Amino acid sequence: MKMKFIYLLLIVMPFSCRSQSQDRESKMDVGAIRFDPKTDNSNFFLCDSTKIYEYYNFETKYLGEKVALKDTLFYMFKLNGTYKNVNGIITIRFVVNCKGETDRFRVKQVDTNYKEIIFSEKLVAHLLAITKQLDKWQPGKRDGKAIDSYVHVNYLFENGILKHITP
Amino acid sequence: MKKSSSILFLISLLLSINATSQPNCYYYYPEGSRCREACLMSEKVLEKPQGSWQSQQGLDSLLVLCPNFAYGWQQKSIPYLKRGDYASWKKYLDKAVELDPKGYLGYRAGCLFDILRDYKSALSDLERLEQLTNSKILGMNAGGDLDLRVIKALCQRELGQIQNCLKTFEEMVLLNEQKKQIGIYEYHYYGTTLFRLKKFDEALIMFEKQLTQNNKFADTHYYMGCIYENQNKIEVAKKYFIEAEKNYKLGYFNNDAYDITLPDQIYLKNITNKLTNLNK
Repeated sequence: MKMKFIYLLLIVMPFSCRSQSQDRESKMDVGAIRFDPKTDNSNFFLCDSTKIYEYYNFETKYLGEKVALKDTLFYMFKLNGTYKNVNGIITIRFVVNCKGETDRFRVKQVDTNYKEIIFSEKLVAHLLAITKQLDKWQPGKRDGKAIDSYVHVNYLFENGILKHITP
Repeated sequence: MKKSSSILFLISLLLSINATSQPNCYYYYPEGSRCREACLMSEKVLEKPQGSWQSQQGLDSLLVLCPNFAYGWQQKSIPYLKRGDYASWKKYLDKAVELDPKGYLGYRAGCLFDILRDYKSALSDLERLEQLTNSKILGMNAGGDLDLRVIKALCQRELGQIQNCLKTFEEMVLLNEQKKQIGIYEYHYYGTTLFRLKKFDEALIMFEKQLTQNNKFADTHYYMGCIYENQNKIEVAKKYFIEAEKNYKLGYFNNDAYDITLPDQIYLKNITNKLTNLNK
């Protein structure tokens, strides 16, 4: 009887775990980034881990306006024309915390038809590296208090040339 | 544009036919239909924070009820666009366009143009909209502040179709002047396009007209300063750059609520660099 119960538990448990995980996934806001111990800094500080805003909610910005951010990234990007088959957008989304520090970087890639694609690993790694070097973030403020927010940078490529950085 | 254009902005909002706004459920969908129910549900669902799982799940439920509810698909797509997931954004917005091309082609063109710099696809959408509506008047962008013909002209410019671009601007300005419905950026963008083509005298005419719409617009002062600098009228140029700097610092410049870089956008750094160079 006891063995039967253990067998039953072993059969049911994976389904139960999957359903919990599915439930957790379905209760995530669009673009939310969950902490991943494999890639993220466990010491990354959040003022309020229950609420990470979008950059446009409370004007999280880069010092020197958008032009400074773009100039810095274009200057640091060293692989222009190296991967000639790259046509599409590489988006890097991350969190700027209430101290202006960054972490939890995630990458999305689409081709010119907006279908998901995987471009060169080296190119993506380079973009990640230069995005991580941006260190003049100014966190937005809500009621005078600095907040944590999500930010993203789009790198738009045409034949391997970095043509635009948006938004 | 931050301050002084607010009245013009409101007028342009009122004048625009914003096809992407909440549809009138009682007008568009028959009584007792699943689509009317879904439409009415959307009013409540969209009270939830945009992009929250509650809002997205609510939209999913009403799209099950009425899969042909274009507005629901468009609303579902928006947070993906704002948060950098363009594969999902496109998948959902394409549904809305497929169901109601007249209603959403212009909206999609605006997104493709300003965030994704996809001039070819944006222009293709606007040309399709012209064919469908049999009209050159395309309405306004989602923000309600930019005539879609400006976007069409700028796409043509970026694709190197210069003659088409100038024709689009010329026709739009002529028609809007006749109707006394000039928008808040039309002269400005026509001017910056002429400026890029080094048609400085014609550009100045457009910028002068723009200043009659809004005499504090820093961007226009900046470009006028550049023209006078090019003509070696240094003192006049300085005057315009100083005016541009003053107005920029007061908040009278072209900017976007989502901090998207706008076409021909200038920043304070551009103005101060000019002044520094001219004062050397």
